[in-house]
Amino acid sequence: MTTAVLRERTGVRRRAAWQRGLAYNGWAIGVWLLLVALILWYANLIPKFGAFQMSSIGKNSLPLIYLAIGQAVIVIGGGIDLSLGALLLLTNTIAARFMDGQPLVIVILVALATIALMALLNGLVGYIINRSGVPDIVVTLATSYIWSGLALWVLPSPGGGTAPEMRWLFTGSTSGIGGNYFVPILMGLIPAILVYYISRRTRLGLSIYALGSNSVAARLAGLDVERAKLASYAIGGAMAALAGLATVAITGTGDPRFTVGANATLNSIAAVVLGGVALTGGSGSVLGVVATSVILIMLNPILTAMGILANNAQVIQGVLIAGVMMVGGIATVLRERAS
Amino acid sequence: MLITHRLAEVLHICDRATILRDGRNVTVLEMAEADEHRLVEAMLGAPAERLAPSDRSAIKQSAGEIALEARALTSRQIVRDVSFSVRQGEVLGMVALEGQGQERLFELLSGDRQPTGGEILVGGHAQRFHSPYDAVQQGVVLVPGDRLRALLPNQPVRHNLATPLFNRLQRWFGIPADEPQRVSNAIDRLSIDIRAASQVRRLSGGNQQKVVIGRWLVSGFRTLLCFDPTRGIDIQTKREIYALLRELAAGGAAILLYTSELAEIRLVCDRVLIMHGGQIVDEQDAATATESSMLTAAHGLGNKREARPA
Repeated sequence: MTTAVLRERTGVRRRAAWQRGLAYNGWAIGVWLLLVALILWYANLIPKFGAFQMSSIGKNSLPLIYLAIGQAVIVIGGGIDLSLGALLLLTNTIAARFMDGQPLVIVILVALATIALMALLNGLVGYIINRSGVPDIVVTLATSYIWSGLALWVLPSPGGGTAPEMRWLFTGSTSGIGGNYFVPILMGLIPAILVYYISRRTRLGLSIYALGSNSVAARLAGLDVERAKLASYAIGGAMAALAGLATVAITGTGDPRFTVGANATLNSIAAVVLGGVALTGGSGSVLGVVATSVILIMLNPILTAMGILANNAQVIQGVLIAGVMMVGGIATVLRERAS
Repeated sequence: MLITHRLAEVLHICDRATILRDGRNVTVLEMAEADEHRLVEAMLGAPAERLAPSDRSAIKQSAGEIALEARALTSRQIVRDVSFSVRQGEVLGMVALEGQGQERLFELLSGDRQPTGGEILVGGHAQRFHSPYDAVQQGVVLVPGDRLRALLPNQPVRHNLATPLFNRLQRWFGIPADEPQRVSNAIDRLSIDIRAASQVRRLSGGNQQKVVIGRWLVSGFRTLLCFDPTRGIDIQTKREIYALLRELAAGGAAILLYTSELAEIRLVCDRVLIMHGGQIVDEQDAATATESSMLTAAHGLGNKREARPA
């Protein structure tokens, strides 16, 4: 090969380096910009915007952020988990029942134990999906009823509580009202960055992407696809447990109602799709999902601040989600046409 | 109008042939006055040296230890009692009509499926492959017949090339530093066209096949199983793949090559096995094997293999 050709080829590669980064993370960068714009707009919309509003948005987003990160990892691996909301419910009730009035040590132990337990339970679900060959959506639909039922068994009616330190950890305030907004923001970002690093820079994460992209090819390339699937569900379970702990910290009680879990599951899927993770698997980034989770939580107060009734607000929310997805779809079509 | 890669079809059926190269209308040939050599030259855009069988005397001597051996390998009625061995530095060809058990045999050898009888030996030791993961760990790697079963379609080229390395990574502490270098080496060695590198499904068939093979160059291997690697790809890439296979064998790799193009046997292989009805019915020396001798055996006619030493 001549040097001229070589130079041309390396030139192509160098230009592709930053373009590749942009193309890879374009959607995630877009939704983060959208989030910043929404916050600025919201700040001008309401008469007083300050630390209280920031901490309110921050802490109320936490459960959905965790749940959506977990869902994103599973969807990237080519699955989907309808039971994450029910796992949130189960964690929430276990925590509220066994943390109520206990010393800090017990509270911490209960928190760590529930995270490990949910990772184990959902990892088992991943194992069952591997072995049985039953579609993810069917298995997790079934387990969602099981976990919801167990939640009612642990805590038949709303109640229970948690330690002030636990409330501070997720809300920045021992009473759960106001407080330092850096705490919930950090609590959201630290797991997000950790999971992002695992998904993009470790063999486990890259195997999960490969599995979601083409499971047959990933297997033939010598990857341990069963382990990758199991791990993605275990991560999802651990994140759902974090979401449950955040819920008990924010509300100060446990709530076993089925609709809470079902809503959380649907919201997590909405956040994943809006965040640029294709439901077909193998693409997208965990970081974009964090931004769309916050956006979904912010829509309600924004629409309320605009004077729109709650019933109408839900319609508008749906229209917005459909609209954003169509913009994404059209952008993809245009890019394909340009290539 | 007929669009095809198969030159024989053009020679037999067509009156006129238009050759496209790099998106341009290169040549129009009247078939009355053209032969295969002219077609090839027009497709390559350069005077083509006629492909010569590689010099095998040197190769024979360098042939080393047995890398992969099958003993009485059986999978229900589809593969029956198949025994053969491939040595390091050797390209072993395989020829069969469609559906004679060759797909299943490759599935067994690559760990995609477990045999119902017989055993596979790697470097003289019996192995049980529970999944392709086990086979890859033993250095037995597969280039599948269907590229859709080999590629991660929406992932970039580099990611596809690095796939087998994911097993080699330290589990939690990121990607080994030599990964980009290994991948770049493979891209250069195979001269993969990376203009459409962001998603591997946008590459041409030939370039996709290079990525599938290049993946194993990145990771390293001892035995390469190639299932019809040149099906449906352009003539330039075909020639590159022939040269690459010989080069890999010269470097000490053992290669098992199933092909549906009988001409490739003479160009690439040292020996050729012929399969029929799930069994290996004949073994021939690639230098002396002719299309008719191989086809006769592939139809289940002619002498059985028992007469020959394995």
